[in-house]
Amino acid sequence: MEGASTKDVLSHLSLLEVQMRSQKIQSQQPSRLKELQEKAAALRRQREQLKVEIQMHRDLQKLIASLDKQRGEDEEEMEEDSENSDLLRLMARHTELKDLLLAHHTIGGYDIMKTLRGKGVCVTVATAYEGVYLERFSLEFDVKPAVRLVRHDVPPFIPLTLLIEQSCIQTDLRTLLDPLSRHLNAYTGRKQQLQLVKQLHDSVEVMESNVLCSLLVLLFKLPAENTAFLCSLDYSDACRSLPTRVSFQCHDKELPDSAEWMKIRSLLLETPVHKALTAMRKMGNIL
Amino acid sequence: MDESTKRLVQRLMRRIPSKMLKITLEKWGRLTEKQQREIEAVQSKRALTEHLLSFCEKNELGVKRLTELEMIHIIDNPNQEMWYAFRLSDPEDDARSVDLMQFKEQFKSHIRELVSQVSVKIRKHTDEAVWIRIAWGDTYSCPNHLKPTYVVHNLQTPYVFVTSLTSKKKLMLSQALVLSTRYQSLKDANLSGRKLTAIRDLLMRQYQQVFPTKYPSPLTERNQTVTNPHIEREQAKPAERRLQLACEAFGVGMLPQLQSAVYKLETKLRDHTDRTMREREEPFRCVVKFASTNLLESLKNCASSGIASTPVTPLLSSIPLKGKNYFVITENGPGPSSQMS
Repeated sequence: MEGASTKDVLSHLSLLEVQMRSQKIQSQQPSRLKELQEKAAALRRQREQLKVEIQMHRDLQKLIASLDKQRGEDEEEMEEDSENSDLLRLMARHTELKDLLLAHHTIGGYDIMKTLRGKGVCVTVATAYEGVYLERFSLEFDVKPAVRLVRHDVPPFIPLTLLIEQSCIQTDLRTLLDPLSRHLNAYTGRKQQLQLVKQLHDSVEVMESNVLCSLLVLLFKLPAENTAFLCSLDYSDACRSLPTRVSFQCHDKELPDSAEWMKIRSLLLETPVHKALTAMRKMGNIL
Repeated sequence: MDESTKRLVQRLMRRIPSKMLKITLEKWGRLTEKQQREIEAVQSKRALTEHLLSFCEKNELGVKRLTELEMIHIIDNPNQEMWYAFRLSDPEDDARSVDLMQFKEQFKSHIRELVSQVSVKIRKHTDEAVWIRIAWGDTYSCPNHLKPTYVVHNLQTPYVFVTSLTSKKKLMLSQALVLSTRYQSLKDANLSGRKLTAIRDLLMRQYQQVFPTKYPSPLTERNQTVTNPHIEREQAKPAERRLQLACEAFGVGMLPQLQSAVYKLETKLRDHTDRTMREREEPFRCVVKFASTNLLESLKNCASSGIASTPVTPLLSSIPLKGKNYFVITENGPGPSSQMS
């Protein structure tokens, strides 16, 4: 008799029934002996099963290794060592894929998995900026009869429908995922920069921003006479986290064109805004 | 002070509850400190109205300033009006670079072209939403400030939220919005409710959705009532699956507080017992309305407790998926399938 399984009600009930019946037997010892013999037989069967499993795993590892080798070389005959070779090959491929997916997840690439209803897949795109993981966005696709997006949590200002139209998801999902990942990473990067500006730079006031974080208007205070200086950053390339255009506005019409501010303009075009502001404060350009 | 301004003040005092009045007046900032303190000392609404009327006369505050007060109140308490969601579609290429100044100028000029007498006020709220207050008039009358329309829009998103307005005004408003946001059309999004925050969060997906993942963080929601440990153990796996499917359909955490959903059925009646009804050709029209203080939470509970079958039927999961709470269900083809629009 196997050990009591608490998962199955019926087997538990039958166990109780047997126990009751065995208690009715006159002498305890013979039944106890019988019990132990049966237990030993069960354990022996389990040991045989485990031995077979270990052997199978060893064969699998061998196959995986030979599959790798086969890829590096041109046509080589695969030896038909056992009748289960096809099955083993499939299992080897499966294990390989699982390892690949885990590695992909670890380096922050796309995650993909089957949905609970079994009809499709769910892909997760991770975003990161300056070495910090930010938000993850998921997309659920049905794969039969055709690949079709069912639901997602991509925010509405990312042009997802446009990207789907421009890609061919029926043949290669990456034609959608790669551009989408660029958009999403750039968006979270810009959003993160805005958060950092608000956190680190109290003296700089954010006059305007939008949900897409594609526009930023900052108010600087200049050390000289405490004048105000307005700086507009346009991020019109949705796939970049650096601005495409920087413009200044000030009472003193000539100040924005001075050499000092031309340098600052190129600084703002090339460095993330929160870092640029730190540099500007250090150099004394702004308060 | 003329009659219409007086009526406006009275209406404002009726709308703003006494406890919010102090804060709203402070934010408005049009009363002197002395006047502010005087008003705070008063208790009855009637006396408050009298005071405010006299202060407005003294400070020479006209309709324009009073509408500011109304706007401040509505922006801070948006969950009292009835809001309707609309969707902009087919953006032009430059829709993504429309900035606030451009939108303000364009909207004001377009609406003034379309409506001969109109009063428009635009404010940008701290959460990047643009609020517009429109008082409508026509060739024969001044703008009516007692029945204004409020519009809320986030630039670069396709959603617009509007308080109730007639179909004629809707046409003019959508025209002005379409031209100033650089989209091609404005359509009804079939989502409405009293809580602006709820319908906005639903459409902008500002709640936490759940997707199947290989690396799950454990769902913190669990049925806390332990009825019987044996039932717990037996039901653990099915209960977990139900909870996972319910969360995938509706989300976790604080769900947008939607308060109603309406299904208009135009399907044939399927009743095995009643032959006459079954043989009718015309559809059996009826309207089913779900109402709750927190509709999505209660539907999710139905699914996770097993009252509604899982996987959640598309009829219910379409509410968060499509961001709608008004559905028309028609018969389409043979069999048990029915189309959803």
